[in-house]
Amino acid sequence: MADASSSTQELASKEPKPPSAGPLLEVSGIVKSFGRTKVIAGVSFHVAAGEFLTLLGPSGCGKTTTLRIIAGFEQADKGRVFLKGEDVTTRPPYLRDVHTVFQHYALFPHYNVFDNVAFGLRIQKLPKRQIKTRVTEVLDLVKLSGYEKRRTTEMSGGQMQRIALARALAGRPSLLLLDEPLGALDLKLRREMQLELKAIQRRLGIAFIYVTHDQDEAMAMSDRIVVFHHGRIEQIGTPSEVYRKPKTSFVADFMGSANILSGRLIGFKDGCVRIRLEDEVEVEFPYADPLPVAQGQALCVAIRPERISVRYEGDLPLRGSCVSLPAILADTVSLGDETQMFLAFFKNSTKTVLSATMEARHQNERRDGTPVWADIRWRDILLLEPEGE
Amino acid sequence: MLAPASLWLLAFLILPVASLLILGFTHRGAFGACEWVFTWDNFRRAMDVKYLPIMLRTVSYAGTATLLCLLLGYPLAYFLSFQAGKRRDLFLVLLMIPFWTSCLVALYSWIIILGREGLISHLLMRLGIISKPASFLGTPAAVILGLVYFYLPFMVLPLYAALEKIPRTYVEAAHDLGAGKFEAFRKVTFPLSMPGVMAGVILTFVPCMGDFLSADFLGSPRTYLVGNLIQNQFLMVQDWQFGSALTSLIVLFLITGLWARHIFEEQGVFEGEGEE
Ligand SMILES: Nc1ncnc2c1ncn2[C@@H]1O[C@H](COP(=O)(O)OP(=O)(O)OP(=O)(O)O)[C@@H](O)[C@H]1O
Ligand SMILES: [Mg+2]
Repeated sequence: MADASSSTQELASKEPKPPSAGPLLEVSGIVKSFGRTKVIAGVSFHVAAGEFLTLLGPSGCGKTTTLRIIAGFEQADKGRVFLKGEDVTTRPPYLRDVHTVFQHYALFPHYNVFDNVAFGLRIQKLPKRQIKTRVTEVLDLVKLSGYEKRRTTEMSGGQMQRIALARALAGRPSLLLLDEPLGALDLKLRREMQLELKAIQRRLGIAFIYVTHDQDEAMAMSDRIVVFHHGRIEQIGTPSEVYRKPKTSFVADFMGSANILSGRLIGFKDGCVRIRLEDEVEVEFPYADPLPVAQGQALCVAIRPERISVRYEGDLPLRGSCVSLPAILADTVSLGDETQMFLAFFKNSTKTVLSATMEARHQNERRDGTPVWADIRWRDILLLEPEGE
Repeated sequence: MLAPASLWLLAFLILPVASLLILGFTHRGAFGACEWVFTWDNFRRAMDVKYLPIMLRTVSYAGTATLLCLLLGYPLAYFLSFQAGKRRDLFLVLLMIPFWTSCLVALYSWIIILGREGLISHLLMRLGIISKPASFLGTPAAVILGLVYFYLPFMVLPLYAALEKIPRTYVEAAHDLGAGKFEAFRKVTFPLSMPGVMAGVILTFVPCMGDFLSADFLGSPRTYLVGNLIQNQFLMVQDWQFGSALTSLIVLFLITGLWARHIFEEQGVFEGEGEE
């Protein structure tokens, strides 16, 4: 089946071919418009059995819509959805072996906890005894045993979340879809639930497609991350790949923020690139990765704030191989044990301000308007395609 | 906010009902004059077995009409709950037409439709079901039809309000867990619309119990209802005392019914599947 669909798939994405065993789910070339607005513009990816895949992107980028197409609540205008090799594109949701944990839980208010969790099992007409053991099992898994008789309307957000999870897991689907399941919980509970969800996913070996707009959550939980932007996929990769080797400036900035500078590749010789930054400063440094553009062309330079080390006049420069840029300390903002510094570079362009963090021990040395040096290690400079469109 | 509301209740509900009740315990003097003497006579008369057939008939007509309203109204409300914007407004306006047309115009139209020369008679002749023109006026069916016509909106509106309020995600969740269209309706949509069903049944049944116009215009002596009996006491016989006693009994009957329902609801009789 990988052969049969390979031609369409290659057209639609640059992703490597799925392993020959065939992925659990394959989404290929999905396009979806609501009225005149194109919400999804050609999306393809696959999920392997037991994999934790996260769809990550800012609000309104089409994550929920993608999930709804996979679940069958929405029909794609173009493209196909394959589940275990079968084309399920036009199948109604109740005939797909996929369950969803809805963003606002969607627990049935007229049923108690037991009846909610047993809903799918009763539809399947399992014998009563088996339903009972399954529900007990799965409530145990989400640590809610003993709550069977409780009304769902009398439970806390975290508990409702667990019931929603239990209800979706009770039918033992091979793929679970989760739409920002932790979105309504407070930060502390969120962190706890992240670990728990991940543990449950590992234990059961069920593949998860997890939607979130929180990149920390994505980094902490995922096997692979699909970064969405404006209904397109910007990059697919493991958490460390998308963090350390972002393919686009959007990904660089979204995955843990980055300063994006405009630049031009003016030379490449002996493994060294020469780049003109913001039409003002030229820097030269060795660069091992493939270059995103040809010589003479514009590109984006991304630098993560935490990789910029700020040095005062007279301090020793960063040991080893780095680029040093002169700057003015424009502003400082205290963030607990760290201080965020805003540096103004480049006399001609007022727009570019790099932010960097400084450790607390330097706190008393800060004074706005002080000239400083910003040291950036060569390997921390990311060269990316220029921002398109 | 509470004070004006309670004033409203006092002025338009409590006072009239209380004065009816008081009137029911007074004595009727010559030519219908009211003598302020306490008596049980009116209530004793009202509970006479000779009125029992009328009572039973009223309950059965009102019950049948309510059931028919529910059977007709539910699909209508269900359909309406999927409409949006201008279309929905149009349908709601169409639904309200019985409210807006004068009762008399509507009733005379029904008389024409149901009469010997009427539409129904013609239609049935055409279809060969009856061989000569027949009038349907004066039959229980005609009276019940009138009730259904007038009170259908009272059923549809609360049903629509309840159905429209059910979040789509509940139905989606049911589908997601494997429930087909019918099962999702049976296990999710319908139980969640129960408050609307209850409200609709009450709002239809209660006015049906008191209706006299339908029986007056479309019925015959055979279809005489409590409403007609009461109306006659007030407008023809001028026995307000007896009319008040009858009315009080009907109100008592309805209040008891509502109270019983409330008790059942508290005990959770209408809830869940009760499966274990
Ligand atoms: N049923 C619909 N009709 C019209 N527009 C829709 C519909 N559903 C979604 N949209 C639009 O499609 C776009 C993508 O929506 P979607 O819900 O997929 O975003 P999302 O990535 O899940 O965002 P969020 O993080 O805010 O949940 C949005 O601009 C939204 O307004
Ligand atoms: Mg969403």
